[in-house]
Amino acid sequence: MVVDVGTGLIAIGAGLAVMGGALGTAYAQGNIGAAGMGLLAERESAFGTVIILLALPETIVLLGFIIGFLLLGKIE
Amino acid sequence: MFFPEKLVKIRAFCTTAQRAALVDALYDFGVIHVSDAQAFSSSRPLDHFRVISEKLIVLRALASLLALEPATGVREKPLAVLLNEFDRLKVDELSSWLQQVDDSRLKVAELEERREKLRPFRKLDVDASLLDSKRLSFAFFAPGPDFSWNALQQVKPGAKGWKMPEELAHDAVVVRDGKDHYVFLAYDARSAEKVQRVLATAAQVFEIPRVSGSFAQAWDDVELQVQSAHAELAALQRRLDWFIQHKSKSFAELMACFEIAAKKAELPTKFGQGAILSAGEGWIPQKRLAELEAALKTRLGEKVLLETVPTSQTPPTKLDNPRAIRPFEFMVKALSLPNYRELDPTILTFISFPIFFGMILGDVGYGLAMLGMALFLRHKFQSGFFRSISGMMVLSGIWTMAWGFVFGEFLGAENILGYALHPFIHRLEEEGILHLMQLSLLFGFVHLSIGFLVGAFVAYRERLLKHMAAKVLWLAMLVSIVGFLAVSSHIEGLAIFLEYGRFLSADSWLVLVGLSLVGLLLTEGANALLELPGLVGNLVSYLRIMALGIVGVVLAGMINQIPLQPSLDPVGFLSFVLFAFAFILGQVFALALGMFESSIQSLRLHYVEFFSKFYHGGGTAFVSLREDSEKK
Repeated sequence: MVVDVGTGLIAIGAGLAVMGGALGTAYAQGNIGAAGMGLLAERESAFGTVIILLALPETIVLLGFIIGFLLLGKIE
Repeated sequence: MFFPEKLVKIRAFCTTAQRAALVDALYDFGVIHVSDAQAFSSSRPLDHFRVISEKLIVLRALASLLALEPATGVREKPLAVLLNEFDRLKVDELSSWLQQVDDSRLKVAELEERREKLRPFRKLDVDASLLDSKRLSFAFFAPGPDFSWNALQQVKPGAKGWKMPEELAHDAVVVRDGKDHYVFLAYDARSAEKVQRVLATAAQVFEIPRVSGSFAQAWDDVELQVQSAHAELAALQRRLDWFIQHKSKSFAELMACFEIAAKKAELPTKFGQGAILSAGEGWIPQKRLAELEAALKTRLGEKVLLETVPTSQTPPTKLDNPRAIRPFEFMVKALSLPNYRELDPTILTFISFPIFFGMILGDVGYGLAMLGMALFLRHKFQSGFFRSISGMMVLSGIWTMAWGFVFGEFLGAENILGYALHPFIHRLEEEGILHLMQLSLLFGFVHLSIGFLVGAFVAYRERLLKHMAAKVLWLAMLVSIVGFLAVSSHIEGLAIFLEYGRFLSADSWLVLVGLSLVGLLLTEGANALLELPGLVGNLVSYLRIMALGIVGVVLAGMINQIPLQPSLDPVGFLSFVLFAFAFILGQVFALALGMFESSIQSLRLHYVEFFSKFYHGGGTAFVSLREDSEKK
């Protein structure tokens, strides 16, 4: 299969969007999760807050996914 | 339903002699959040609190040892009856049994430890009295692969002056025990250090236990003792099991009754105590004030005086939602209980959470599975966390099915057992994705707008007019930004707003944006500039509904590629079973992941994007004096 440079760059861009988002989310959730577990050990009632804090960085990978998806849609 | 239940603070006076009767009356009424009395100085518990707490400590300790929970739904009983039941149930005797069981377990453990120490010696038919020799030392060891008799021979202090006592006949006795073999060695005490050095490197040396008679005999004795101790422990355990089987219900009920009695006897510590009067204070629902008055009159006649107390204190929060909505209270409480004066967002969450949840998961099969799980949980749990979860799952499951028909999906496929589904929005086609994106943004726009409107209403209710104006201006900002982008940016995702955007020209929308910004700068200051990107971010955040939905359907689609072809051929049948197992496991995984992500992300849209427009939380929970008072 032969693809032109532009198409290749779009595909690479889509991959980078998802990869960057995933790495960012993983890094943030790792730290938040560890701190959150510590907080829950001390104060069980903070469960709701911990869940929100844990879910906050997922926005990064979800938006990365959306960008990636939209970019892939540009490939003819 | 929209606001917490209206409460009023009451104070009840009675003579000190009537304290117990007042406690009874308040407990019977039940729906009262007793607070520390402001009148008089602090009071003491009722006189019989000491007796009750002593018994309760014993009961709690035993319940903890027997892993028993206090019974629920028990009726309170007079103290004399409880003490009688305490004696009749032989609680003290049970305590002694438990002690005996503990002692017996300890004895078994000690004997088993001694038996393990003796185990290598069990075939050693040597009298232990020989060990008392002063001239000789003894070692018992299992030779390792590097062990050599020559090495030991060399440490003998020569042939001269070294001779085994005749009783032993040999200088070393080799003991065989099945596959193992051990050596009992007697050597000159003067060579102890050298012998020990040789053995330390080439053998496993055992400490020689102190026994009387031969080692073999000691082993037989300890074996008998272990068996006897086990039998004794089993007998005690049987007696204990019998008690748990036949008496644990009565025990748990008795403990629950004592818990109630202790709670009531301790209640006066919150009362105020004067020279001759006691005063109890608390919060009750305003609509039940007359009921409390009547209850106190019936119980205490003219010996009690009830008054409402005007106060600037913030009352506790008692949520007031219909039964169907109550499961969703859990979600609000998980964040923070509403303040007494603010709007309770449970009803709003009840409406929007299942819609978002269903839109993300959107599958007829998964919706059915959720309904099944919800019904199971409802059947299994009559109250508590899982009961609340089941209530949420019923509604979310129904919406998941409804969206499943919109997306035309059944376990990720486009048919139900061969009957084709006709999707209105196809989540894997470009046009469908575009529609889903538009729908997500539309739902986000409506959700955020409701949030701002509620925020304005709450601010108006509290007479915070500047705050109210700011909320209205944020709404205007949202409306005008979306309108402007819809008519000027040609963003496909905003096409759904095009008709609405055409009400005004792009320039007019821009003027509205400017006016809203000026208004926000006047009401909220420079902070408004910082929060402006957040408003757009809030709207874009709703695109997660689309993104997660696509991820879910792609995952389910991959699982559906597992080939399921029944075959009569043994090899083919085996592969069919394996594939079917993988298919079921995959679908369970996809459902679990879908449910988890849909809940977390829907919850996040509520907590972060929606609640932040109007909700503060930080309320103190209303704790009824009697837990079952709400059911009365």
